[in-house]
Amino acid sequence: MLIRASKAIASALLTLWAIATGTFLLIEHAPGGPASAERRLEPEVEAANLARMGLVDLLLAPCAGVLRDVPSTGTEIDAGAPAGHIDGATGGCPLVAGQGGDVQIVLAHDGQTVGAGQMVAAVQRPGIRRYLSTMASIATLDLGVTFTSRGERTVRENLAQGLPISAAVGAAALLIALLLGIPLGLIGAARAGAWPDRMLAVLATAGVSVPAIVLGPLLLYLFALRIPIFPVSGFGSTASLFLPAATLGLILASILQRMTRAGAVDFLQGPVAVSLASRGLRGRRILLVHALRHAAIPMLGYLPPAVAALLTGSIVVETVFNLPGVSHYLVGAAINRDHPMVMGVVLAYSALLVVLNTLAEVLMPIVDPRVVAEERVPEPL
Amino acid sequence: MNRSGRIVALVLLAALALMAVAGPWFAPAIAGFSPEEQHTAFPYSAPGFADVPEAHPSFDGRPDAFALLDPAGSGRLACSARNCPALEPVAAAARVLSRVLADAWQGGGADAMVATTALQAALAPWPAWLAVLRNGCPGAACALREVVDASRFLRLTPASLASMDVDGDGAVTQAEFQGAPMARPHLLGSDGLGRDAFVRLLAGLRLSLMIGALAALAAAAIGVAWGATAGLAGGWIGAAMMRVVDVLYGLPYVFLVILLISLVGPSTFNLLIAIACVQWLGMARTVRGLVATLRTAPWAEMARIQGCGPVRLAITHLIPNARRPILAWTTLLVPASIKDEAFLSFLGLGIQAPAASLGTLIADGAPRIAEYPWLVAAPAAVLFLLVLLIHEAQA
Repeated sequence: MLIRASKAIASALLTLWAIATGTFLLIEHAPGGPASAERRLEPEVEAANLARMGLVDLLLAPCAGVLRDVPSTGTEIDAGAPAGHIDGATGGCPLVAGQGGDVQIVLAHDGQTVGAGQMVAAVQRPGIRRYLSTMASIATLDLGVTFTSRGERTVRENLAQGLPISAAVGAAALLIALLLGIPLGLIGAARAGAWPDRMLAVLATAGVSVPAIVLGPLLLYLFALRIPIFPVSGFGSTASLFLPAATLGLILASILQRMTRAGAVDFLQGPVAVSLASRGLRGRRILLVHALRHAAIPMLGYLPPAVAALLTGSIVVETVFNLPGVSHYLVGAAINRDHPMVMGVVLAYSALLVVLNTLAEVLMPIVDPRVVAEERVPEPL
Repeated sequence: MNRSGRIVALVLLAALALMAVAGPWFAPAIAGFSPEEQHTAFPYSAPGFADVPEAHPSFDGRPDAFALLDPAGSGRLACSARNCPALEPVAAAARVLSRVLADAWQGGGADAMVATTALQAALAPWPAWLAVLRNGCPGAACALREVVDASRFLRLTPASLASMDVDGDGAVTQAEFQGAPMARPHLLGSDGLGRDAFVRLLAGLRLSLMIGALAALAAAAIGVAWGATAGLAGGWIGAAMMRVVDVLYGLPYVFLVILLISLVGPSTFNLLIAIACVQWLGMARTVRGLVATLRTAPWAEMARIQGCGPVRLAITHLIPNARRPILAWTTLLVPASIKDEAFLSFLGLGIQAPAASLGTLIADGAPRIAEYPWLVAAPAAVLFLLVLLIHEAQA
């Protein structure tokens, strides 16, 4: 158990490291990112971002020659100053040459100052150092400044605003899916082949096939416009979360219904169920305790993909129902190529999924002891 | 799913695909509108609302300008003597006219001169055309271009249309004038720019199917190549390659697509690549497993002993033997790719205007769903049906 858990956690950490590294490489080489001239960023955004990412050297690359000649008296240059001020500097260098001194760049977003000495060091910093400082800032959950907010909003602030709403929708959807999918799956298994089972199978087939961009507008039209039970859009009360959660929940419930039914039918037709029944166990108990547990095994493995589907679907329903969740920040950011924001969401959601995967891996022996038992049995030759 | 249900699904799917593929050819016959044609005077018209398509035949430097005189393209300008004898004089005159115009065209293209008298003689039974001719070509002779330009002018002036109203019922039918612009119904209404929803739906279905199929094929190719390499290499290389797949499998792949799109910018091609880049993982796993098993089979050992190299072994023996599961996986990738495309286009990260896919059509209609539900209903129903049918057909 302990070995299994530590293995899973080590693998999760490795995965997280791989994601962070991939992220770093992508942002370094992306066209329109801070390393390219294709897209011109506002200077304050660029300064704030570069500083946060440890890329001050890019900002100050034109100053490489200038900085060394700077004499040491105190002059402050505000990196958050208007573009004209910065562009007025010599040769694209944001520092005014000749004014000299212990030149300081004040970063707009947090008032932090970067000294000239540091900057000279930064100019000569190789890629590997940039990589290490980016890793360090990601490890401390510092995901940078969004491109599209004039350097004033960090990715973390946006995530902190959007995630609770998205999480509420997702949790409600998961609840609906579990409360609907598992009982209906057991009903289908108990009445396998009879009309309730066939009816449920048709519904589940429809539910598995319907994309959220179809079901969302349909529910909106039926239950908010035609029969105005729920608010049309926007985030106000818990009622405004119901339709978005139902959209995702119904789709997921269809998948869970199929899985529960398949697992339970598989069990009920097996020798264990016959043996349990022959010992006098009531059918209901066999179904609710033993068959359900048997059906729960593949479901635990399905948990991470299910959550991934919920995260994906939440973008759609948040757009359809106009909820200010994560998608509110993500979609606009993706269209405007606001890389740090998109990266932030990808990193946050990846981390969430990796944690869930690890959890599923660690919890598996509790639901299905065979997993561990199989590891002990030597492989037949 | 039982066998008959599967066959029904396959037939319906084939019909849908045929509709999508043949759309450009039969849509003009049914709807008469082109996908990007805007009728801003009548935005958001309800299904059944009739409007005159712009695609009314006109001359743009091509010999098919005669389509104005011969909308059916049959070489006749009016009905035949058999099915409408009353119009036979008109038809005969029109044939003469068409010959005059065709001769002029062959003589000097669009700039060829046509004698007004010749035209007037041909057009004698056709008063409307005489009116048009007087408008567009007042002199003794005029260039073919001017004659046909006049035909376009004909469509635009109510007065010239009125002059063709032989029976005085306030409408010019095509019996009265073959080239008369006819209003056609918007079968599924029109959108905010007055574009025909039915024609755009066909175009959207075609694009969605195309992207679904191409992305699935590309993903399958990547997956087979990766999986086969990992399976053949074995050892730590194979394990490392599969570890990459495992890591990517654990990620929210749609967000990776969004990330890729955000990095390279949205376009149809980028969308295709991005979808293919995340859909190959399952295929890679399957193929690796198959290849790892098959390479130990006696016939594979035999091939190796006889000097078959690993690449040749994979291409000529292992992959062909794994074709059934590969094919099954590929068909699974199609609905997934279609869903991904619709999802991304819905968010504005996929297909860019003016091109249409099922996702963009739903996205365009969604904000006004309260007033104009049909704009969402049709593409949403088609998308649902498409995914459902593919699922059923392969079940």
